[in-house]
Amino acid sequence: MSTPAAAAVRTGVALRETLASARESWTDTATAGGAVAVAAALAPFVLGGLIATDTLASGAYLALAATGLGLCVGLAGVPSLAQGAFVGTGAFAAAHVLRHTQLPAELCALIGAIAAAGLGTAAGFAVRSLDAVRVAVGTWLLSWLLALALGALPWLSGGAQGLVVPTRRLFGFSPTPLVHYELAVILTGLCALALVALRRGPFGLDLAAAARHRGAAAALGVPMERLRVGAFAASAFVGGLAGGFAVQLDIVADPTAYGPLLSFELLVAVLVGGAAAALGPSAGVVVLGLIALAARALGGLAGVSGSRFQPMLEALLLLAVLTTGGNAFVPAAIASARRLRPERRRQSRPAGAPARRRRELLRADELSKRFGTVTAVDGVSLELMPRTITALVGPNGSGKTTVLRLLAGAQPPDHGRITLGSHELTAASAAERVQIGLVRTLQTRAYFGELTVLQHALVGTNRTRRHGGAVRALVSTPLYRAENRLAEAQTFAALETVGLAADADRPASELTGAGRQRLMIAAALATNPSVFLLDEPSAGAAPEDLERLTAILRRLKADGLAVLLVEHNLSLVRAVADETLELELGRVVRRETNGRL
Amino acid sequence: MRASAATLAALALVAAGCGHSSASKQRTILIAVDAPFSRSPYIGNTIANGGRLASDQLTLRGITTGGATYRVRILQLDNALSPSRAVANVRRALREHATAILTDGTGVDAAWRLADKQHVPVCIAYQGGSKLVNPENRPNVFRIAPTDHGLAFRLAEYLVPKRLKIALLTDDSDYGQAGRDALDDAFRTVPKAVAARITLPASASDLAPQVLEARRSGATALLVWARPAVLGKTIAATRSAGWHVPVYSTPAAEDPVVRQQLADHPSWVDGLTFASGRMTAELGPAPWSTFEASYETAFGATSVGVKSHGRRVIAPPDYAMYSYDFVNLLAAAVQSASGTDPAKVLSALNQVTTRGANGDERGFNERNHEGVVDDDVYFARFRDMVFRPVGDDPLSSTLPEISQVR
Amino acid sequence: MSLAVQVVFTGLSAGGVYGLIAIGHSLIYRLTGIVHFALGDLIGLGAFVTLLVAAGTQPLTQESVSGGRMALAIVAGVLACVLIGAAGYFAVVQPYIGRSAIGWVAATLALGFAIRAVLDAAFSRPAYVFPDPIPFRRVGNDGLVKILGAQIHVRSFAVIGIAILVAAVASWVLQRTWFGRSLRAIADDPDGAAIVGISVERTRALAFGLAGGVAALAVVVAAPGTPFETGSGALLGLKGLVAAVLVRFGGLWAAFAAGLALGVVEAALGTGLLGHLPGLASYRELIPLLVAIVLLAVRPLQLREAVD
Repeated sequence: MSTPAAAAVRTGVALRETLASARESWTDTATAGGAVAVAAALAPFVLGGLIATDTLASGAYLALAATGLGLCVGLAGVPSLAQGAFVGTGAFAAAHVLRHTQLPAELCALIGAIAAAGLGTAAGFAVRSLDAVRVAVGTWLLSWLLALALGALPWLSGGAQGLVVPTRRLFGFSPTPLVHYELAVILTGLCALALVALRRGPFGLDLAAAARHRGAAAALGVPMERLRVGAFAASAFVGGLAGGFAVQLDIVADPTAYGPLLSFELLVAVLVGGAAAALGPSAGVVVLGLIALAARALGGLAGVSGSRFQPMLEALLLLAVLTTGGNAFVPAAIASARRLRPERRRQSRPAGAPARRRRELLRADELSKRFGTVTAVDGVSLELMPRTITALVGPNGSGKTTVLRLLAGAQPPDHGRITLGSHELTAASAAERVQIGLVRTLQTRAYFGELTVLQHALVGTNRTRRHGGAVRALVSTPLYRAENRLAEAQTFAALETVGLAADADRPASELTGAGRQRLMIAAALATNPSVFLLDEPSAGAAPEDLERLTAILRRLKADGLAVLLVEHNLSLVRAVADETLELELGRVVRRETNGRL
Repeated sequence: MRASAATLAALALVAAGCGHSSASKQRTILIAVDAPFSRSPYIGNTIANGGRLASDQLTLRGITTGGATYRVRILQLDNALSPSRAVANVRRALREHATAILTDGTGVDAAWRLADKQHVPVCIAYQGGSKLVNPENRPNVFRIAPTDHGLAFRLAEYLVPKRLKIALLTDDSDYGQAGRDALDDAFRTVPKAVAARITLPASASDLAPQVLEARRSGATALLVWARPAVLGKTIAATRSAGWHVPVYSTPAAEDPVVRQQLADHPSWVDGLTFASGRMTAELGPAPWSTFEASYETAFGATSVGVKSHGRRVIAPPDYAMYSYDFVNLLAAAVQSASGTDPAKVLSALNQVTTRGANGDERGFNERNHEGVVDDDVYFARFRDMVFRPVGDDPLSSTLPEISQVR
Repeated sequence: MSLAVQVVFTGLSAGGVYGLIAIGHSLIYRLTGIVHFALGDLIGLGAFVTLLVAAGTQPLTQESVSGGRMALAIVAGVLACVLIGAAGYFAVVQPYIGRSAIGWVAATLALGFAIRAVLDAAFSRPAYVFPDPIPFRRVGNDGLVKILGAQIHVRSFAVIGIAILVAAVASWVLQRTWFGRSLRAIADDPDGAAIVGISVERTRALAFGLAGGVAALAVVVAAPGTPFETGSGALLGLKGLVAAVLVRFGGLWAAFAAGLALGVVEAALGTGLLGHLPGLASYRELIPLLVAIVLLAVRPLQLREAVD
């Protein structure tokens, strides 16, 4: 067959596969979503008499911006207060381009979105490793910065009259409010779909893990900083797109309209509607609209000329809603719907042979670490060989955990060198070490909220994927789906090793403490490591758990891994360890082989 | 019996129907007032009150034309000083078939085109920026209010012959920036008269540094074009530094805030001279007094909050006069156009004239959409917390003093 | 020379207010881990309650209000700040503290916007004038003294003096009194503190209220210098927050000093003292904000690992 024909056949097969898998994964939620979309599209014709179409269109663009914020707040769990600034950036960038060039309207809006994404990337980079409070403060300051800049710099904002935007045909249509409304509904729907697709993919899993337990996610090599920057950039892009189109509806780029108040309203919309659901932000915007209507009605009842008191009534109602903890109407609705029709369970367990990594030797030379005046680790050297379990024992304060953290990359050593095979690890970050094949578990029973057991373990596989990026997840390419199946196979293999394969669909919160410990081992195993570091896995375990743990460790050894075990429980050490190192005050005082001290 | 009852009923219905289709049809001239009611209620209410006074009087009299009687209704829409809100308000006004739109000027650059598509006139009753009104390109935009251009040129005309070295102080608000442009225009031909051009940061609590700069530039007079609060701060900084330089300003000086700020130093307000649109006309003060009296009866006198010789000082409703006059002009246009057909009303607006509240003739034509001519700007000087027309300007010296105490 | 002196004193006077608000922000953050986004609006509320008690919503001028009534009004204003600050803690912070950062962020923001909206509705004039509670004009030349060629308001000294006094008192309270120690205990370990018998919630609420009252006091002293708008409170709160961020929510004195520095820099940028670049004055509020954001980013905290 000639190449073009072969390519056509392959594409046809791929399309059929896509349709088949789409039909397979069609759920009731999707049906509900479709119904909502149709209702939204028809809204202007039904409500046209009650609410003006341009008000509806403005609201729809607000919903688009809020859905973009949902990416940050819902998916990444980051309290971003800068979405108003991103919308404003998109609006003003688009306005400037529209005024100075003859480019088509859609392209100008896209340019606005790209400008906003640039600002979003910078903002994300700035807050990439900050805690939630500082992110809130930083983004709040950014919001004020843009608002004050628009007020103070007339060349940017066009002065108090704003920048008048020339009207141009939109996708070939005359830019009436109705056209804008339908466009906004379509864009919001696409964005919501993207949210759903991302949430299910590796991107979403990583973000969920990072949002729920940063330490454990870092231990699994989740690149949290990069993810945060990506989340900011994406939500800023969507916000900028909303701004770029909305400014054409408004006919004017208004410097007073993109300040902290807009950021606040968008955040409230996301929270009230439920940050976790894809259509939550849109529901939140509807609630905001209802509050505005209620304020107008109240004002009318009280007989006051509404306009002066309406903002006050709106703000008070909003405050009431937030203080009574009313956040999450949509998730509540979804939960009640779920009770009626349970989610369809997966049919079969995927098959596939996950590739194994080459087994290599880990060597650490003369590691030292001081904390102030205290020397925690003093010239410790060790070697971890494949198919061996090495145990580190010693009293509290002997430095065992510090050694493990130095090896894992949680802290940089003051002196010393770490190599894995031919890779130089000393300066590598924790995430990089996971990619090279070194992984650790944490001492605490860390787990990622309400993710299922399978999803937990899947987080580990994301490090080794090559075709799992956000864009591929969105479009669901064949390579992406093939890798999905492989990742699931790998995960199931890991779950079987720890004995949790039967519980794959249960939420992790239902497991016991020891069960969660095993889950973290499975997740670490799913990263396909060659070196495995365990930090006191037996802490707080009952006798039968210890037996299971012993079996797991033996299986790891049989698999060819180099295992380092930091332990207090000497019977466990005796049972499994091939070599034991005793530490005291940061130094190795004794070295024994075959577990005998 | 039943047949006649039915006939009676039918006749009654027919009669009612005829009653509706008779010549006594009640129609409405709707005027949308788009102003910052929530952010600057003072301005918003002034414009709306003036409009309402006129609309109430007209509705009482009734306007009969083209086979129908009209009453005038005012619709208040808040724009909160936001251009995009103004656009939304104009859209709403057009949906409700407004005959005209009265605005403070916010968002006119963006919204006029929407109104122009339906030939609905837009009248600015407050802002004076020169780019807002352009009869050739914006055939439906009118203004009844003193223009920045007029104020600036009259100020230059008044001050330059005094051979002063003037420091131009403008604040960084939009009002100040527009004033800066107008002043630059006006003083372009007399650069030597300008000692310094200084920007006053509106959010600063103390303007002593800027005043010091002006003093060091060798200025012998200050011309301040800024919002009222900033003007007050400037005067306070100037006088408290012991510098008794004459201060000139714009209608912002009339705002009560200035006098409130300086209430414990009445002597600091003395001598403050400002330009504004004149209230009384060549005919004499009687028409203005009538207008003022009916305004105060309807809405009460606006108290400034200070006392002059123990009596309460009030602020005369000069800006309300402008919206009042426009509503009357519009009614005359509707009369002339025999109805509220927008295109006809718009063209009639370019032809009719009315007698304004103060007795002046008000009207527009195809080439001039400014209802207040530059020559109508006069100067007033404060003394004892009230202002009087100055004596060293030809126009102002002919104007009577208006009582501002009650 | 005299221009520089003028700028410095003008800046210090404004900066004293910023410094006190920065102290408020820093106190609240260090004691509860909360950034109080509504602190600025709360201060505005206090200022306008003072106005309300003194003169209703009518214009207020010096001669129209007696000294006694003014004093009562000031007490009422500060009290309002304290009470609503404390109530605000229970309403918007306590439901979310420790559980959901986004929750209290949104709730405190909502409180701030609600206060602002109520003020906008009740007080319709564009600006309001406060009389001096303390008769400064009796000092010097009508309330002014001449230093190195510059005319300085006596009020500025009072503001700076009161600010320093308040900072010192707050510092002493935190270090020496039982109340201060219990506050610090709660900050370090809420559960431990509760076990020891400290009423965590009430103490926190009290701290919230007091921090608001402290800043309100400063504003009431400084407000007479300039016409106050309904939005002034929020802007002051923002600047106080910027100052606190500049020292990374450090100690009381650091925050206060940062506020002073911010005031001076703003004044300097606004006068062309630092060069006559065209339009530099427009950037006087933007530059400190930008610096604060950059500072927040450039020295990031290491993501703290789970306890292990």
